[in-house]
Amino acid sequence: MNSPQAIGEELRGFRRTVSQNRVTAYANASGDHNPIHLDESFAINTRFGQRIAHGMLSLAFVWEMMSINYPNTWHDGGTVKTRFTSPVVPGEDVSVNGSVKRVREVRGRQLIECDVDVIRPNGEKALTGSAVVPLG
Amino acid sequence: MHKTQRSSALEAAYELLGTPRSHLRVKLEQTEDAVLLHYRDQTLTGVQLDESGINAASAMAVALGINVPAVGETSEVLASTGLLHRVLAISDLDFGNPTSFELANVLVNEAIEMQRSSHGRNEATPMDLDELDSGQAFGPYVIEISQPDADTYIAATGDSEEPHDFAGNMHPLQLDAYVLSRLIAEIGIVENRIETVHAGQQMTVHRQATPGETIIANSTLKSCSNRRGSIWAIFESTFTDEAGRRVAESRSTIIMMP
Repeated sequence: MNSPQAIGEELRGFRRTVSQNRVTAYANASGDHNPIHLDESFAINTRFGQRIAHGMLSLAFVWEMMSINYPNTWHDGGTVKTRFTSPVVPGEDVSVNGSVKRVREVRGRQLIECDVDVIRPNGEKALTGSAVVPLG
Repeated sequence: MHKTQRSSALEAAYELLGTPRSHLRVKLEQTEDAVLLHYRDQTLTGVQLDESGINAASAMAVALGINVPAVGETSEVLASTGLLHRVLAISDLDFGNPTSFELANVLVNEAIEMQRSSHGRNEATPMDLDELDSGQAFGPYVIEISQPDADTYIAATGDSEEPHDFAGNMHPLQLDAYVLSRLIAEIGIVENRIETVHAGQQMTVHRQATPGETIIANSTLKSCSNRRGSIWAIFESTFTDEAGRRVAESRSTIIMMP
């Protein structure tokens, strides 16, 4: 596939289910055993009232999307800058999206800046931010 | 520091140490005429550099597990409140009295035992949240992710039917995930069950690391502020390979609600 380069062009995104099994698998894989992700009796007394997925899990989806869309250069200077604006609750299906926002040249290198987000089933953005990828 | 000043400092110091804590970051400073022990802006105790004070300063340093710093310099160390109780008691001894040496010996030995037991459980013992200070360094963390662990991370984040192919490399975020897990353990978020929110994350990758490769991560608490009872901490981390080449850098914003 061609890497999106035109302003407004959509990136190839995807949907992914964030099950509690996935959250637990992520905790084991990352070593992040924060009880807010794993322990229901702890999570019920937090501001969220239930277990929530790791923000890094949503970011990993975005990372994968950038790697799919820019396979040759994303890992050679790619930068992502995101905020976690709403927690993903286990059981939710999220959509991972991006679009080209601008193209600029810095020190002779062309950079593509994309808007990226992860959207929960209720339409809220779980993650929002930008990703900058060099081209060549 | 004269005896009357020390008495007043000690009174406040013992009040501070009334709450047991595992890690207090204290500084030993040598000025032109005294050796002083500080915690943040508070001087906990001090000794005048006369004959008795020199003996006390040496014993205090041994109890803390550091050397007496040179004039005009400071040495920093993490110490438990129990250990600091011994150091304060040493500072108040009159080494003109021969029995003080025996007492100091007992106190120093107790402090050394505390240093040993503290080091033995260093990684498992969380620090206190009020110990977080801007500029504080964490790590270095030596990261070596095995091929099975790299595969596990990719499987946990990827499509269960068709995991993304990272061309035999690690998922770069796994480096940062590793450091975050170390930071939250050191801060005591898991052990003390502190409610947290991961508010933001940045990461730049210069090249992908491969499974089995040694990557060294260094983290700094870039800023730490208290906003309406919550602690906002921004950690910056750098990741380098064994040749010292930069592999990635990241910035994490964590909100803690003690």
